[in-house]
Amino acid sequence: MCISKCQKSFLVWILCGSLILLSACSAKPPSSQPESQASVPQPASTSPEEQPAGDHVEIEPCEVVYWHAMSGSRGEALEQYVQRYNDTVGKELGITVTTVFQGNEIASKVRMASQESKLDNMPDISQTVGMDIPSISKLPMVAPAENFINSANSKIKKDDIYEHFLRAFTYEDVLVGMPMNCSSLLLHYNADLLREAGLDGPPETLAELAEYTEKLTVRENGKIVRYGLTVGFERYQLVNFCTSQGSFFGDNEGGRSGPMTKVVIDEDGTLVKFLTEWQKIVDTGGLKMVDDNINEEFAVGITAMTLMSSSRIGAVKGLVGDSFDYQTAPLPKVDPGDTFGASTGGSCLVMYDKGDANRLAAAWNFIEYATSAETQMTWAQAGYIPVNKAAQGLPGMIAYYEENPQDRVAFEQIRNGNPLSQEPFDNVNWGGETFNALIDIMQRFGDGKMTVGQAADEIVSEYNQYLIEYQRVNS
Amino acid sequence: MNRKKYRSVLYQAFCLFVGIVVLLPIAYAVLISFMEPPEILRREFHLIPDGLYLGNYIKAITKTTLFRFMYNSLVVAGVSSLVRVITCSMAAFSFAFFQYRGKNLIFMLYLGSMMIPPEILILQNYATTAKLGLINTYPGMMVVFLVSATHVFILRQNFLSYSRSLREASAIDGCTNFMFFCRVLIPSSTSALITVFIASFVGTWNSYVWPLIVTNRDNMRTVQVAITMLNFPDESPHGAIMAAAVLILIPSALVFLIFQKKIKSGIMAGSVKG
Amino acid sequence: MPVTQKVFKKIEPFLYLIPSALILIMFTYYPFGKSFLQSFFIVDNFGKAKEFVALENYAAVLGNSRFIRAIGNTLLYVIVTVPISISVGLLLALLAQKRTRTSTIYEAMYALPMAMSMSVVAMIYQLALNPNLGVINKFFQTTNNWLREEKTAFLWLMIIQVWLNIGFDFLFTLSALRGVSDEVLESAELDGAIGFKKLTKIILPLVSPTILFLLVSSIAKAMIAGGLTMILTQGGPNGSTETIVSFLYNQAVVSGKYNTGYAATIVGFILSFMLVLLSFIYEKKGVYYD
Repeated sequence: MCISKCQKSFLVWILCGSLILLSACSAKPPSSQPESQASVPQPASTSPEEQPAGDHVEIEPCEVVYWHAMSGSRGEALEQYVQRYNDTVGKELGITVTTVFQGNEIASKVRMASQESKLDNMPDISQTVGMDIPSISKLPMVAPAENFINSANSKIKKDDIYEHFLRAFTYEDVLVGMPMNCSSLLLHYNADLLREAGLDGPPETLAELAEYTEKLTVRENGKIVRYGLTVGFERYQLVNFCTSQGSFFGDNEGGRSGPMTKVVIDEDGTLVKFLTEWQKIVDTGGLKMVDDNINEEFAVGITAMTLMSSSRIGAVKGLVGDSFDYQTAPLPKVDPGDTFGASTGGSCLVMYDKGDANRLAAAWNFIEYATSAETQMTWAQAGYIPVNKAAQGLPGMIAYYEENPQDRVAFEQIRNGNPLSQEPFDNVNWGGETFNALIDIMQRFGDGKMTVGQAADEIVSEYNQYLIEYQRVNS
Repeated sequence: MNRKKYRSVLYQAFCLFVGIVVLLPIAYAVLISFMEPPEILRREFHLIPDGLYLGNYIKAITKTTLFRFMYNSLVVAGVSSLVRVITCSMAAFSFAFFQYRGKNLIFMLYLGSMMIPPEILILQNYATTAKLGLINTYPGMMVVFLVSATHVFILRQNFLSYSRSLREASAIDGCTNFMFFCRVLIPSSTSALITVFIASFVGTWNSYVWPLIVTNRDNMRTVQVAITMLNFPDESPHGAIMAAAVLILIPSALVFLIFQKKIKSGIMAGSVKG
Repeated sequence: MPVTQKVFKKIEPFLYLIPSALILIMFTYYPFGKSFLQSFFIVDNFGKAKEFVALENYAAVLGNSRFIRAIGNTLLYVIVTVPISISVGLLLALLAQKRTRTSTIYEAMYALPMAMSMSVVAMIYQLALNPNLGVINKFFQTTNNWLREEKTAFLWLMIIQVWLNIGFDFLFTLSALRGVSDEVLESAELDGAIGFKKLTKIILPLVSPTILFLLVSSIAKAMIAGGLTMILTQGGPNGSTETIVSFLYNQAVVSGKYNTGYAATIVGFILSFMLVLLSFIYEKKGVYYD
């Protein structure tokens, strides 16, 4: 069976051509409008003034689908408060909240589901990380919390929530989601080891942190057997050390009053200031800048101090047990005169309007319950900072903080800090290219392979490059 | 006589020893799964757990609805593998026993699909599946597993080793192609087909991304998701994860071992059955 | 022959292809074709095409030093893991060829790696390689951070990959070996072919269809490998473990940069296709069907 060369290549072209035709038939024409706008049923709520939050007498029985990314013991605590709602308030009104674990894919899934012409596969509520707020808020089916929290019937008012948490999830003056999972960056330390080294209390500035690191590092035969400080250094720490000095990190108030198009940490000098102080810690030789199971290493005594999120307190407590005096301290200041403090991190609950005003009202009813003082108090015991001010007055909360000073420090440093200290809306996805590049740069800096100036330049150029590209592609 | 037996025993012992070396990582996982968290953190070298700590297994079973997940995985892996055997054997039949223009080209296109990374297809496949209304359904979870070019290839190699005379003989007996396919080819290639079934079953059983993307209810999730639910980086999950891994390994290993006997006869070598 | 029968005869082979072709087109080639088309546009983070830019994305991705390094890493990956995996599989198959009383046991042991999921294996090795808690460092009394050192990270990924491949390669070569009839072997031995000669001149040619299959499928799989990198090292340290697929996954799915993601996919696809075509030369030269 011989096909001539001519015929063979002709066949190849025909096949390629038909493949292309096939894909062309369903390729959407280039447009800047999200296609779903045409076929999405118009959301029931449009302007903030008109929106009545569901007065709970009028809500009819329905289901509320709640997507989240909490696993392990956090996931358990979540199931518990959802169950309590379903058994009490939910039962009275006939509302059932169904939870769905979506893991790390939650943001992609929300995006994918939002592109469909029917909204059946969208959730009613989804846990949304602060970083995704600007892009998510542009989806037509998002029902911003702003509309609900301001209405007369709402059981939760803006005054009930700490300003810091509200600002964390507000974009272009609209509160997009209700804060739920909030944490802050803390210094965790082994108080026994500090006392042993003759150190009185935790370090308060980076310069002191360098001294401590020096004194707490132990070497045997030239090899380090105990690190003074271990930090899994990534964007989180970098951002905190700049905003704690009072920087917005990026233009447009760190991307909150409008899209962020460049960083300002070079212009306001905060980046260089931080790197210069950090250099002192690097120079001690007792700093490990890699996360290889920091919780375990800290619990076993391989490291004396670490800088990590307050959400890890529970895990560390479990690992440490009674073996030593485990304490936390507020984020060390870059300059002794800094007042802004650590920034708020975490995620919020965003609601989606699928064309059913009743479901929206039910979803809001659940969120009112979730952000109430009582629920926040029990939720705080799973490792998060309670967002409702009234929680502090509850006896349960006071007792908990008595026994768990580590968590109280996390809360107090936010409350005492400036609400303007916020993580920027820089759209740097966790694990993405820029995210990894930052880790790389800081590691090379930590290994002594870069000077302060070089590291600062690379960080700024990496960031700005990404921001420019992002704006080009997405505006 | 004795000498021969002695050598045989030694030989087998060596083979078993190599087997243990091969399975070291799995053995490691099993050992870790029985250790309590503080034990795992100990700094000296020790592999034997102090006691048979069952806490990890209990955690793995209770913190996730592991058995429901296993059931889902079973349905998805089992049915899709069955379908795959059918689709792939039909395609291989076409490639091996027919001559037609463009055959090689089409075969190349099939092979080409082996080189397309599935990660890039997820977005669009989700949209397609949604349009078909199959989100959160068993069929929706199976669609991307129903064909594999690799397996078409395996079967093609197998079918090519069949002698022409076999086909010609049955044609003389008045056998149509379809009858040949059903009555002669399939029954005599059971080992190859079972291999495809097993490889497909194991592959689908172990897949994580697609079943997660296409389902929106916890009770439809598959077994690999359980591992993610346990892998919370802020806690110390090693023991529980290894326990879950061991539990998840058991069904796929079982399927494997049960059908292994049937693969004993050659997969690739032809059968010149007169 | 009546006309309908003639037509049927012509389309019959295609009928058998329909089920598989339908699935392949709908769930592999259609989405791939779409990615191909969209690689010529600017695509926003939601996957929507916005502006036609012809080859700009390709220029950008080919000028991305990390991507070029990823291509080099992937090729190295293929060249190292494929021959080693197949050889180890072959060696194990030769070892287990003779049926003995305990055959089923060790045959199962050699093939078992096939039943493990990659993510679980990655986690096992991750714990084993941990500088302070892992068994490997404990055994040698070292604290090497294997997965974070540029020199050792990629090496270990290749080792893990070979381990993952052993089961599959062993199973197929064993069956192929068992399929070589004893008469052929005996007559070859009578003709004086023993040991190494027997292996290369008699056995290998007879199992060559299997070797071809393993070669082609392993190359294809290795060219699109990215899972280990994504789970264990995320491309670090410094891009030394980045493969084509881990790069495009990071771009497209994690960072939402579909532009470079799609372009990278197409480039990767072309490279893989070329490599696979090359390996089909082996079919012409070295493969014997009965």
